[in-house]
Amino acid sequence: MKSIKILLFVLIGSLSFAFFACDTDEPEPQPEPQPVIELEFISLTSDKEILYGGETATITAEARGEELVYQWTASAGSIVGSGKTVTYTPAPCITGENTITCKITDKYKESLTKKIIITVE
Amino acid sequence: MKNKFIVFFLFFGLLAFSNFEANAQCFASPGNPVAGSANVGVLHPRIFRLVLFHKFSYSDSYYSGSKFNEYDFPAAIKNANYNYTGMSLAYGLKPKLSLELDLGYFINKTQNYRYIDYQLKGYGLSNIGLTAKYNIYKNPVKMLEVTVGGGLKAPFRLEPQVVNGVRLDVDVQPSTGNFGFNLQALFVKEFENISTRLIVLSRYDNNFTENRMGYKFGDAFSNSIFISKHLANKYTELTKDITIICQFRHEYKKVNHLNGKVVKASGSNILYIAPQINYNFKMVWNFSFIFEKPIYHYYNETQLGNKYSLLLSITKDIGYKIKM
Repeated sequence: MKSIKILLFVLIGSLSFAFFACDTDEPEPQPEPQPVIELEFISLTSDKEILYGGETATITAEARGEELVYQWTASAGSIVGSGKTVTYTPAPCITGENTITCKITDKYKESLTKKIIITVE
Repeated sequence: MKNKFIVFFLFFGLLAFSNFEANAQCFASPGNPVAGSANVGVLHPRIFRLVLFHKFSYSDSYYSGSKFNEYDFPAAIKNANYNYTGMSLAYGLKPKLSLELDLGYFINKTQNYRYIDYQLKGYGLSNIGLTAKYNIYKNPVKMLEVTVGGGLKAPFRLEPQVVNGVRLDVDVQPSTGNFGFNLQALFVKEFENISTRLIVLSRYDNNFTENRMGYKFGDAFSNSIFISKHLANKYTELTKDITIICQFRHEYKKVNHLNGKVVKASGSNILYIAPQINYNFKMVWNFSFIFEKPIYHYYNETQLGNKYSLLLSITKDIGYKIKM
């Protein structure tokens, strides 16, 4: 008799465990996959193409994509600021054609680069 | 007394801190101390000399040639400064031969714009240099000494520093990115009877490679004259461990090159005065304070010129004991 009680206890316990362990929830609806926005570097423009001693230029990069990161380099002179719009501040000695390069990288590690030439007189 | 004088002689090395900044960029301001110090003379064999120093340099005025230039334009720099901490470790390898290792770190190398609310700031390890010095002539009777030296330097980083996605201009890069070498010659004459020493130090620095920004700093020549006076037995007991030095240094820097083209507004001719004071503590530690200011300058085209520099250093010789 005692052994039957133990058997029943174990059986009920096992069933209870199986009941609670079972995932009875409805499967959650999966979000609609978002369309991937392909990286597109639309334009790289400057408000001035020629700078005279001590002037600055505002340079803007237009692009489409996800989580864009902008990297700027100047062949000479300084880039002030960060992001899609920066200011180019050439030193007084940096005359001639200077190249400003913008490299844009998205969340998929795709990258595109554009260059613009600014003449410093 | 004589031994004490020798100790001051040994410690004199740190007084010849070179201001060889591979600067003379367009904004001639911050620049890079090539390798920290220019310890003079050779060390006794098996002696280590450790020099720790900190240098602050400040610039806020433009010059065209030798004349002040208002340079009131949107891109003008209001001021520039740097804080550079360096170390020099020298070792006496042979009685006439010493080796020196120099390196340093820019805590900041900063430019503030006058009309743009922005600050360009670089930081990090600069260059490392290894120099050998050989004593070619020494006459203890006449108290004359001639030492020559030569060394190599290398940048700690080859890739330019990028901050917030923007590659910093060469003016605020912590390392020149150039490999180079230096040659130097030192002449020392002591006048023991008046506790005075005359030192002439000539140095040539060359950068033989372009950095990865296409920039190559011009060669630099420097000639320094030091006149030192040990205040032993003068005035009061307080001054017995003090040496005062007056340094005059002429620096000539050739123009820099960018992608093979001359950077017109680079290169300079500057004469500095650098009064120094040394305090020797128990013949073990030596503390120095140096103030440096240009008294004549000529800059090619228009450049931001150095206004003044301050330098504090601590020197300790390890492995040397002298009986007083």
